Amino acid sequence: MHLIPQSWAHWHILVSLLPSVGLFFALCLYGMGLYTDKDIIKRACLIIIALVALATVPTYLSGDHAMTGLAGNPRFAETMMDSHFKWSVAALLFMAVTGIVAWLELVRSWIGRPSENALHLVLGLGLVTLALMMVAGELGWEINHSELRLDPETQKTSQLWSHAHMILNHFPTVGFVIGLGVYVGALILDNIVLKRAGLFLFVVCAILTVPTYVTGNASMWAVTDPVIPGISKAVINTHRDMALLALFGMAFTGVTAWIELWRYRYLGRFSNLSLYLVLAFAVVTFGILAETGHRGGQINHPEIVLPTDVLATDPKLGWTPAIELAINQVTWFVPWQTLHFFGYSLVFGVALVTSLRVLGFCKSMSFAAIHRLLPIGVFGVTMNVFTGMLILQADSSRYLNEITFVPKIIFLTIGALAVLYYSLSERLWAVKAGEDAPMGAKWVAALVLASWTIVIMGGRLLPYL
Amino acid sequence: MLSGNGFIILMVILVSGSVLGLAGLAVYCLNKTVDQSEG
Repeated sequence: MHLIPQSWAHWHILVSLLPSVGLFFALCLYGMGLYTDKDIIKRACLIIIALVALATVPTYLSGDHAMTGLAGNPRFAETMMDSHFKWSVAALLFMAVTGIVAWLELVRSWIGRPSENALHLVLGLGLVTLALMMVAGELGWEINHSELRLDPETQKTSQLWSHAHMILNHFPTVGFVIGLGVYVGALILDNIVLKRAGLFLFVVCAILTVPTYVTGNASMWAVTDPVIPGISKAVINTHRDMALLALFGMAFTGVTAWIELWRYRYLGRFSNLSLYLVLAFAVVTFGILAETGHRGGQINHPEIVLPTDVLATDPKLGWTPAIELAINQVTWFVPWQTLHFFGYSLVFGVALVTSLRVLGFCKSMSFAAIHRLLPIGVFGVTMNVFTGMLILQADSSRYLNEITFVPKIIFLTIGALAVLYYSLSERLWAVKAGEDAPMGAKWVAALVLASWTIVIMGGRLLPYL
Repeated sequence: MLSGNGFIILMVILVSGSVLGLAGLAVYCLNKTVDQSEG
């Protein structure tokens, strides 16, 4: 891995993620800060938005140099680069203005509260910038990824998977970097609200890793069967091996972060030992993510591969091909599938009981009493992510092309994110025995139940449709 | 010597028992830390 990128194109691929995906996470956290009216979150987000805006400078410069360097290369069409350039300049200008307004408001309100009008102005500008970034990003990806324009009729596995993976893989990685920044800042400032925000971001990124891993598996089939010239399955397998490690790292970080959020509800404080354990997991996972991303980039970006790089050539080497072989043995497949069914029983049981209480059943119990059950459901989800990924390796090409697989994965992500609300909502936590839950919480409970029902139905229908 | 089916049943019991056992232990420990703080 090159710790320092050796070309402008490589620099551009990396830094351009900050004003785009970084801005998305900053705006999500900012929206939560405005909704919950937490000044510390609003200020932290103003700082993040301003820092993200600073990244417009290296993004523009690296992009400009990369265009000059790649001009004349038949792989990259000049018209596409021009189109990406024009939209990017507009997006970067808006980003710069958003960043300047965020800095001005941060300085102006250093003593006292931030102004509501200025905060909403930052939000509005940020949203317009994000829309422009989406267009610029899409045009940027299309410059290099010609496989996205292949005739769908000739494809066994849709290139929509590759497209989805290309976009999705940046969310757990860039989100994790922002989460790590917020978390380290929180530990230095010893601020509880920021610590919760950092832990929340870790859990969200861990959840997003699941669809990222699945779309990655599908992309492998989309770009190797039929073979696309220049794309090697051996190189993909080295990326898959590291992605598997990243999945483990994300799971450890996400689950320990969630446990801290859960325990905080009862103890009213954090354990320093647990907080630093989460930090240790996060730092190790960050290193694994960086290597995973780097290996992923080598698959289809010949412009960033150096002459000194040694790329894999044997597609049978690595852990994932070995796992594929092992899991196809009935003595391995059946035990993990059994565990998968246990996992769903745990998840659905806990989701049902908790959601029914929120919807108005069993009012003799406070929400805090029901909330005690949540770790059982979270362990069920974790078990199922790993057993599900193992089962997927047995025949991923078939599973991924079944029509119920996509809704299963989409609602798994939605269901897991919705459950997170149970451990974060202040109003729900205050619901005592005999009291009714807020209306908003009831909608979330309905979403949780509907999501996990679709996940189970989608999974069960896989072998039959 | 175990037959093919016997080996599969043994694997199911071993894998499920160990993973569910670990998860159960973790849930027990988590609840205990909360009980102690409330008690």
